[in-house]
Amino acid sequence: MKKVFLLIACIWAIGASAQVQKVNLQASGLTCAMCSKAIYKAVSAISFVDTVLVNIEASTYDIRFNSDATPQFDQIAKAVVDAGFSVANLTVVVNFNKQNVDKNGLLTLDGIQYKIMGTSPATLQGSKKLQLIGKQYMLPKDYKKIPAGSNSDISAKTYLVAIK
Amino acid sequence: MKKLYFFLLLITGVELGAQELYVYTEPASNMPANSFAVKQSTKFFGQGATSSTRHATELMFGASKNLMIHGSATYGALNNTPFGLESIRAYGKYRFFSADGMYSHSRMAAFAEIAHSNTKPMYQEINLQGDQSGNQVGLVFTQLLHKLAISSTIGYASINGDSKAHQLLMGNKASAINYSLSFGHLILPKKYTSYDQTNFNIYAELIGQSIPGTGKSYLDLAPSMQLIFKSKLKLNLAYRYNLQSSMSRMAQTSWMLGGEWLFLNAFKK
Repeated sequence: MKKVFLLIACIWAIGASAQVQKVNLQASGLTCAMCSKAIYKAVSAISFVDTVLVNIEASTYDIRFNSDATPQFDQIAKAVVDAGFSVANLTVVVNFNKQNVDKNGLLTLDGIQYKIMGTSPATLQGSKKLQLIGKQYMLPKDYKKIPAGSNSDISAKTYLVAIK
Repeated sequence: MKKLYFFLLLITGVELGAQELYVYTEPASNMPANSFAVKQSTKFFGQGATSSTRHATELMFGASKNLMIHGSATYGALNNTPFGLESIRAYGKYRFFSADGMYSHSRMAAFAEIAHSNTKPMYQEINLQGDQSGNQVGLVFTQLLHKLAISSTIGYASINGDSKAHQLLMGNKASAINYSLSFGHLILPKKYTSYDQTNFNIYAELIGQSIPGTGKSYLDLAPSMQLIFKSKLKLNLAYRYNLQSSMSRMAQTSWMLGGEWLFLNAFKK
């Protein structure tokens, strides 16, 4: 158990040098500007969100965060759902600086734990896109393709992600 | 009837974006949680009405992502009465099914409303938006198919019709089946680049009522157009006319002009 704590502490320390740059959100279930604006307003109102750049036509939102804040991705998804729509894709763009990934695919960034689905390199370097995997972060047809039990061994506070 | 086919053809045949912000009916989709809207409208009645306008103010709240609540009042000087309040109404809609695709959705909602009216019953038509006191429950199904939004409503309305005047008009039968089928399309802009672009939508709604107890019915067609400014202010202009009717009504034709202001995230948690 001590080793686990040590490992987490190590990951934490290394993780501090990596940064979440932004989140690319694609919302689904809408085709109108009024609907898009509802999502824009809801996401902009989240305390840790700094700026939101929208492409209305593609229904995509480029979200950047306050520098001292820890982004909570579940809150972004909740804002979209509360506005009356769904998340089609939520991808976190991270600038890694020799980030170690443990043998179980776990890594920690800004105090948030991620588990990389499938095989992962032992070290992550440079800008990477991590797509959040989960019912609330994907279109139903995409979620169906995820192997059952992919998130069975992770805690509720860990985000399951796929490197894109 | 030719006009009807023309509208249906126009609505279903044109390959443009779609909207479901119908003028006469509610879609199964709700307004966003914590948002608020004010709707002000005036109906101008055609032949049959003794006075020609009825005003309505409606306040709408998005209580949660699935529940929205409306409160409304109608006022005017219809039927040679002094100008004043005619009716009040409360409406709630709960979205219980939602399946979103990338540019599509299927949604279902259940609604209930209760209305109180001060006006004397004068027509066989059952109308909870001004004419009668009563209640209605129903279901809405809305399908957005990338280019086209179609919505259908079915409701069962009962009115509190124990007055003598009402009995003369209706007998003891005071329940109706209300139904509607609505189509909506976005005409402009062709391509979205900003929330400040003015949107132009066209709609066609078929609105019908059947009173099983008396065998009376009507079917109306309501084409309408809508401008949306800065993604928050809606301006609606609609014309509603009778395709078929076997009951006495306030009017066979009417115009409606209305505006609606949407306040997103009006209530912070």
